[in-house]
Amino acid sequence: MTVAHSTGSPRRFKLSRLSTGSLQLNVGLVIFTILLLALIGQALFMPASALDGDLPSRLKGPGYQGHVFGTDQLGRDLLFRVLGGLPWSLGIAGLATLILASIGTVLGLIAAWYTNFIRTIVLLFISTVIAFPFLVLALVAVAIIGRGFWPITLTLGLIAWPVVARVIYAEGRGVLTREYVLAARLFGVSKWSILFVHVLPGIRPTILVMGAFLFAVMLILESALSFLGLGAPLNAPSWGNMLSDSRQYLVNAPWMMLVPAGAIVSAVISLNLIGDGVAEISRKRARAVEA
Amino acid sequence: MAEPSGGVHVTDVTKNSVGAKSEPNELVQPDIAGGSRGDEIIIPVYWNIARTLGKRLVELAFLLFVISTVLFFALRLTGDPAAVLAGETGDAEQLALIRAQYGLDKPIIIQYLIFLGKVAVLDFGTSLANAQDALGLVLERLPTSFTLVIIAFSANLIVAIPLGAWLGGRPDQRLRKGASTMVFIAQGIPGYITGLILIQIFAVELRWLPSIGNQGPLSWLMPAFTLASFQAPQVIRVISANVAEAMREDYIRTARANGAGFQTLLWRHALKNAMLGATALIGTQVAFLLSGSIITEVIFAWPGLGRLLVTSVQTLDFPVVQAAVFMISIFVYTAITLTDIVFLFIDPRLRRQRA
Amino acid sequence: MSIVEEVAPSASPVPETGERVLRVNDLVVEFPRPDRSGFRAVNGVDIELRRGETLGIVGESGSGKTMIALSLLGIVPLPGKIIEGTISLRGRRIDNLPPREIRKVRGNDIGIVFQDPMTGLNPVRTVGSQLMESALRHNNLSRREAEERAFKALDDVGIPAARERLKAYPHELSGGLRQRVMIALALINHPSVIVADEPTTALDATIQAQILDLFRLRLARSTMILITHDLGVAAEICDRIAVMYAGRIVETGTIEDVLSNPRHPYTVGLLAAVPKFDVRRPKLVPIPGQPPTADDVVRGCAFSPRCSFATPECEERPLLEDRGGRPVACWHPRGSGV
Repeated sequence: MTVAHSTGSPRRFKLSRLSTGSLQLNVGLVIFTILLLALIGQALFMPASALDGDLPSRLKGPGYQGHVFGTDQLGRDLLFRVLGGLPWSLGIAGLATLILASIGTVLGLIAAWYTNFIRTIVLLFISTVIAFPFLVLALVAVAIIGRGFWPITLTLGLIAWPVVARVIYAEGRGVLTREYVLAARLFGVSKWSILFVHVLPGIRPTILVMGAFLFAVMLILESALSFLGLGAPLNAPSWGNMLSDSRQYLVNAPWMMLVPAGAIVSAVISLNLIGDGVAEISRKRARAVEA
Repeated sequence: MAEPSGGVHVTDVTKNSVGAKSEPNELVQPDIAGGSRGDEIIIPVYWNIARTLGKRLVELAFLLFVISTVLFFALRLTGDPAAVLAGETGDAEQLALIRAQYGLDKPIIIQYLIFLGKVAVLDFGTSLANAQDALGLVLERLPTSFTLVIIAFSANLIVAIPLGAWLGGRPDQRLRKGASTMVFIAQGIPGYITGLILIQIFAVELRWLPSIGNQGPLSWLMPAFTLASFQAPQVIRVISANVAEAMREDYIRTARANGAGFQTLLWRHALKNAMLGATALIGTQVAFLLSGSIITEVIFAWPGLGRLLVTSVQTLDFPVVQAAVFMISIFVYTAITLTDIVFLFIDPRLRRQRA
Repeated sequence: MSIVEEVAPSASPVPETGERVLRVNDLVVEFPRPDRSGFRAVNGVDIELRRGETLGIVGESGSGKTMIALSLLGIVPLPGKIIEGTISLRGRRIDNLPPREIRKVRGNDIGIVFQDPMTGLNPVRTVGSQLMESALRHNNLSRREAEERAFKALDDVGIPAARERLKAYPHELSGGLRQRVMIALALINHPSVIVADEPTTALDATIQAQILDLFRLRLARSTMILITHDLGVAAEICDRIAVMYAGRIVETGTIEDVLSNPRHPYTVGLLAAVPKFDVRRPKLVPIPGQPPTADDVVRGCAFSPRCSFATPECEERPLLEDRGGRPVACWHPRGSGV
C-alpha cells in the first residue's frame, strides 16, 4: 500500500518505505506480523513437551520459575499454551476466511452477472443464511460432523460466505455498468475474463477490508466454539479452551483468564485496525479520484 | 461513503461501505409541465408490507427446509440413528424395536417424507435425554432467553444510538476522538471475555452480584451487559459513521443556512437519516444477539434456549437440537420482519413511491 | 401579503439610487495548505448591493463565487475561514457576530438558494416540516400560523396544490418542484437579501427556463445576488454583473455595458465562448489554458498566463480601478472607454 497523496519529501529511513500512511494500518500490521512470526516460530522450534503439565507447579502466577505468564490447573506453561493456540486461532480463522472469501467472491460475481434464475437462487440463499445466527449454524454443523481442526475450518468457511457474496454482488453490479466493462463486452470478451480481469480488480479493496474483518469474526467464533466445549479437542491449547478452563479458577488464578483473553483481543484488534486502515486508504483514494 | 467499521457485525457494516442505499430518487420522473402533478400512482404501504412478509416467509420456509434436510441426511450418513437413539446400552433386540418404532426399517426416501411431514406440524419427537417432548422443552426455555435479549436490545437502542450520534456529530473533537478509540477497542473484546471479566470484578472481587442463574433483576445485570456488549460497539460505530456522513450532506448545509443550530442539525436532521441508513444493522441485530445469548447463557448458567442448544449438541440430542433451531429461526425471522415493517412506516422513501 | 411582488416582464427599471443594503469590503477567505501559505479562495472582494437590485457574480467553477455566498451567511466550510474584510447588512456588521446572533441572520435576513435541489432538502422530512422549521425559528408563530406561511411560500413560487405538497417528501417531487421548494425556503421569512447560487445549473433545460422565469417575473424587484457561470442566465436576470477570476473581481458594470463592451480580456474570452446564433461568428473560441488551482502560486495578474495581450507589466497585479468609465482589473483593457 502506498499513500494516495505523496507529500514529496525525501524519505530518510528505509523502514518508512514499508509505512502505509495510515497509522491504524501500520499498528495493525505490526501486531499481526508479530502474531504470524510467533505462529511460524512455534511450529518450527517449540518442542511438543513444552505443552506438558507439571502438577507440583500448578496455578502459579506469572513469573514463577521462568513461567512468564504463569501456569494453569495442570501446571502447564501458559505462554507455551498461548503459542500452541496460534494454529487453532489464526490457522483456523485464516483458512476459513480464505474459503469464505473465495466462495463469496465467486458466487457474488456470478449473481451479479446473471439476470436469470441463477441470480434468484443465489440471492435467496444469501439473504436466508445471512439473517441466521452464525453460532447456531456452527453448533448444528459441529453436532453433525464433529470437532477438530478441519471440521471447524470447513464449518466456519462454509457458513459465512454469504456475507461476502452479498457485498461483492452489490459492488459487482455497480462495476458491471461502467463504460470500460461495457466496452469489453462489446469487444466480445468472455464473461469469465470480464468478471475476473475487469471487475475483480475494481472490488479488491472491498474484499481486503471484508477479509480482515471476517478474519476477526472467524477468530472470535472459533474461540467461542472451543469455549462452549464444541470446538478444538478438550486438551488442545486453543484459546477458547483456555478461557473455558479458567472459569473454574477465576478466584485463585485470574491470569489463566487474562492470558488467552489478551491474545484474542490483540489478534482481533490488529485485524480490525487493518480492515479500518485499508478502508480509509481506499476511501481517500476514491475521494482523490472524484476531486 | 459511510465508514466501514469492523467487528462481529461485518454484514451490515460493509453494506454501508458499498453505498447500497435505496434508490428511490431515480423513480422520480422529469417534471415536464413544471408545476403539473403528472400521472403518479402512490403504492399503498400495505402492498409493501405484504411483499416484505411474503419474502421473509419464503426465506424462512427455505431455511427450515434446508436445515431439516441437512439434519436428516447427516444423521443417517454419519451413523446408525437407531444406535444413537438407543444409547450405549442398546442391544440388538432394542435396536430392532427402535427401528420399528421410528420407522427406520422403511426406505430412506419414505423416512424422509414422513420426517418432513412431522416437521411441518412442528412434531420433533421426544428428547433422547429425558423422553420429554422436544418442542415443549424448547418452549419452556424461550421466555428466559427472551428476557435477556429484549433487555440487551433495548439497552443498545437507548444507549448506543444517542452515543453514536454524539460521537459522529463532531468526530474531530479531541474528547470524542478518545471516546471513539475506546469504542474501537471495546469492539475488539469478544462478549465471552467481557462476561468473564465482569464476573471476576463484580462477583469474585467485589462480591456485589450473583454470577450464575436467574435470581431476579440483580442477576440480570451482568448477563444483559455482556449480551449488549456483543453489539453495542458496532451499533455505536455504524451510527456515528452514518451521522458523520449525514452531517456533510447538502441538506445539512441548507438547514444551517436557514439558521439551524448544531443540536438541531444533529438530532433533527442527521440522526434520522443515519438510523435509516442502518436499517439492516438494527434488523439483524436480533440474530447476532441470539448468537451472543448462547455464549452469555453458558457463562452465567442462565437457564435459556442457548444453553439448552449447547447441551443438546454436546449430548447429540437431535430432536431437541432440531426443535431449538426451528424456534430460533422463527424468532429471528419474526424479529427481522417486524423491523422491516417498522422501517416501512418510518422511512418515507420506502413508504410511498411513484410507480 | 405576497412574499414577492408580481412584476410585468417588460418592466425592469434599474434603481440607480436605492438604499445600500449589503456591503462587502475587501473579503478574503483562506483555506490552509499543508506546506505553503493558505489558498485564498476569495482574495479581496468588494461588493455593494442596493435595494431592488440584482447583482450577478459570474466566473468559472473554482473562481470563488460560491465561497462569497457562504461567507455572507458565515458558513464557509472548515478548514476555510474569513481572514480579512467586513460584511455589513443594512449598516450592521455581520461577519463577526457570535454564533447565536449570526444564526438569526441566516434564513431570516439573508435567504439562500443552493444549486442542487436533489440533495439540498432533507429526504426523510416533509417539505412542510422543513419550511415550518425555518418559519418557527425566526418568528414568534403558532404551528398553525407557520403552516399557513409555509403554504403561502409554496403557493408564491408557483407550486400547484401547495396545501397537499406540504405533506409531500422531497423524493415525491420532481426536480423543478424541488427547486421551487428551495426558493420558497429561502423566501419564507422575507429576507432583505436573496442569494441564489447556480439555481438552474442542476436542472434540465426546460425546467431551467421555468425557474429562470420565476426569477425574472416574480423576483425582479428583489435585492438579490445571483451566482452563475452562465452569462446567458446573468443577462436575463441581473442589473449589474461582476466577473470573477481566481478569487478576485476583474470587471464590473451594468449588464448592458459588460456584455456589449467587455473590457477585461477574460470577459472577452468568456463571451467568445458563449454559443450565439450569429452568422458572423460561426466558431466558438475557447480560452486557452486552465485557471489556477488551489495548489498554484499566483503572482501578478492571475489571468496573464492565459492572456494573449499579456506583457511584462502583467507581472504586477492590476487593481480593480476605473479605467475609462468602468472598473477593470487589467493593464491592457480591451474595447473602448466610455
